[in-house]
Amino acid sequence: MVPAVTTTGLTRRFGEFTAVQDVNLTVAPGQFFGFLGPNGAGKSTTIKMLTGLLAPTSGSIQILGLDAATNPIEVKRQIGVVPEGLALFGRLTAAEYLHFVGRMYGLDAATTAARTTELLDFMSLAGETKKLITDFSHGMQKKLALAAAVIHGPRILFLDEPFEGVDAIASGTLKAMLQGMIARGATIFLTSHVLEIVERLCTHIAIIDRGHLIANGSLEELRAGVQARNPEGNGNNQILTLEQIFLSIVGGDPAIAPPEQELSWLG
Amino acid sequence: MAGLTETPSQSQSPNHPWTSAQSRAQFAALAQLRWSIFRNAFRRKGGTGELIARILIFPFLGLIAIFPILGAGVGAYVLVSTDRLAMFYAITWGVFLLWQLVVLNISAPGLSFDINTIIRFPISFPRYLLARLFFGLLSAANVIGTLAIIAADIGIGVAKPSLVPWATLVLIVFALANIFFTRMAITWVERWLSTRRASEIFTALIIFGSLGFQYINLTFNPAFHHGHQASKLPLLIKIFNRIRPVANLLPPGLAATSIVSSAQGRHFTAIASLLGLAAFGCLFLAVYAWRMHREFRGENLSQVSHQPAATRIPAPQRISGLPSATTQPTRSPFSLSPTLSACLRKELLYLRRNTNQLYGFIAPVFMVFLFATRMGASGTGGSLVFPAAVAYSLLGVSILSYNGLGMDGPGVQFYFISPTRLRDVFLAKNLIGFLLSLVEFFLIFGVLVLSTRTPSPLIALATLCWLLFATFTNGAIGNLRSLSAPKKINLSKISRQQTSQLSALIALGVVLACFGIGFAIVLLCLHLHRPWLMIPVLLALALAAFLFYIRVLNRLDVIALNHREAIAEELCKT
Repeated sequence: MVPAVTTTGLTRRFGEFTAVQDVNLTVAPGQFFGFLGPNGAGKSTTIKMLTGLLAPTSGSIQILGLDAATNPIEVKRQIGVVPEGLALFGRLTAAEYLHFVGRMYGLDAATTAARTTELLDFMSLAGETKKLITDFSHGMQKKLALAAAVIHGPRILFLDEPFEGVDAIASGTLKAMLQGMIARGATIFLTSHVLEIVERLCTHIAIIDRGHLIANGSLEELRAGVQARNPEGNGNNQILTLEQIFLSIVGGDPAIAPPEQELSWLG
Repeated sequence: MAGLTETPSQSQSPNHPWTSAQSRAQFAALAQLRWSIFRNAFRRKGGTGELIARILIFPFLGLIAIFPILGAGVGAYVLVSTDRLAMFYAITWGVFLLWQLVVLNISAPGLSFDINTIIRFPISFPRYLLARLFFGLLSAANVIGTLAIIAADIGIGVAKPSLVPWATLVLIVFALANIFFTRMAITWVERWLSTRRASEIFTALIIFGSLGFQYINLTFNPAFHHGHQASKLPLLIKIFNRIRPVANLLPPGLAATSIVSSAQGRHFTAIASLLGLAAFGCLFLAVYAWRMHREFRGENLSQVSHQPAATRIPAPQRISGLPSATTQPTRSPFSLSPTLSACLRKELLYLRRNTNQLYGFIAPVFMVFLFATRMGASGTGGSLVFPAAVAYSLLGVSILSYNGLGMDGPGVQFYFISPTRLRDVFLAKNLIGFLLSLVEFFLIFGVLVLSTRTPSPLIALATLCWLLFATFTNGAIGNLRSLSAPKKINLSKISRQQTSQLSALIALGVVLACFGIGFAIVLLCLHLHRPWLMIPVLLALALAAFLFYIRVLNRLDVIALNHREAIAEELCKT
């Protein structure tokens, strides 16, 4: 089966600084893939490269078997993206924006109109017919960005911090929608700082730290790896949470670990 | 980490009383910040070009500003030396109106951060207020207005040296009152502009105000007519006399009254007027301070427009199975690609909601109408009036193509994550621009036919050919500048810039160069006694420009990919 996403030697440098170094990653179709890492680890840079917002310095990206560099248009037709900046046009209404996006993805007018209505209803945005996007709250903008990302029925969905700034009710709606997509065979690639959400939703997880991929596998595989590395630490057979796994893998890094010295002048 | 475990010195402790040295250090830090922002703006990619553009534009703006400044000085000298002091109000009111006009038309140097964020530092309100006054003090309006006041003071001094001490005092207070007034007005207006509706209403008011000002200028300014219109001057004087009792009680009137009364030996009135003027200054400062205090206490203007509706619990529904994304693009009835028609639809919606863009479209036609009616009445107007009017109108429209992505803001990311060709996006933007140019062409033609005389068919056709040449040239260069020097347009700011300084300068240069080429061709053909020759020559130029435009259009996707990081960085910034 052709992998949904494959990266080979993916590297991105900004001058002297290497943000992502030689990342080799494979995401199988139908996976709910969580991409984690501490601040500045290279998550957003990686997702930007995967979605065409940033050119890799070296390495290659294959989406559904297509090379992203040589087939950018075909690749983009297969993916949906909620980028960091949300990519919204502030001077349009939600319906106008979705109509625009649908047409840009090649949907016919009738399908676009039907899906626009359906998505606005689903996202509880149907009542905001006259309001421009610029006047939306952050949570509403996020829901609209997600609606725009799925209007063409993408086979892979890339989400950069989709739950940030979204209230509990909207968060529940989004989760239900994403799980529905997975059930229908789509692949989701997600970055988030909320480890509880990642643990609940994702079947596979990769962790990046200082530009290097340092862990990759199913939650069970990561858990087994941590337990194998530290058998005494789990003597009571308690199931490790993703937070514990994450801290065990990344927290061992002296750059991440809390300093031994205290800030004595604080308080 | 070295130093973290050291005992902090007493002066660094939060419990230690705040010292004046620390306050001075805050101001020094703010001054350093302002300087760094200014300096770093030129260090960015394209910063050198911006610096060159500013250096080139400043003398040009200075040339424009020098006339009202000299006018204030010479006017003050003439009025005082010829003892026509009753007319001195014209000077102070003129300076006041000039001040406000510059505020509206010349954007202040943009800050790359929100000055309001300094409230997170331990800064008292008076110091915060001073900092807010300090930032933006060297705006074009303040500089030009203050220079006009200094010129008026010099004019008074040359005409009547004994009047200088009092006039200087009054004019200093007048300058401060003007500075406080503009700061107060801008702050309150921008607070209202934080809602979209108010922003649009305000822009419409500015449009009508500017057009009204142009009408008054052309109707009553003696420079634009030759005596027969002078009959309208008494009407203006009559209107002025009607409003004079009220105008005298306002700052420009009080400043003039104080100086005139001092010159006439009515010292009580002079002092009372000065006190009145100072009271106005204090009132403006107090209202400004009131607004600042609200912000100091943490009022976030962005929240004014962000009032989300109460969250509704979504109905337990599911989205019907979204089919795979392999939908094949379908052609629209007018055989435009779906992408292009979607972009066109979006651009039309943006045009409808962008009053500023509409102003750029309406204003040139209105100005041509005003000038044409004057020329029609006086029987003047040569054969080149029509081409000159079309070239002038092109200035307003062409500038929009030099920052094609500016209005899209963060939405620009969509073009890079979707299967969209930037070629289609720019083609849609350009088509709207071309359409506007063509509509202006016919509107101007209609205006000239109705007010002066119908341009000859040869000139009309030659102008159309020239318009095609200039439009395609502008479109190509504008598209390249849109990608290499994008500028986010902030709709909630007064005098928002439509494009970068350098792009504006290039746009002006390209239109002037195109006009120069067209003019040279016309002259050459007339010299050769073969006026018909201008049509094929201009058509050939238009064809060459079209090929150049297509060539650029086809390269836009590659260029955009190379610039995508810089584009996203500029347009997605908050």
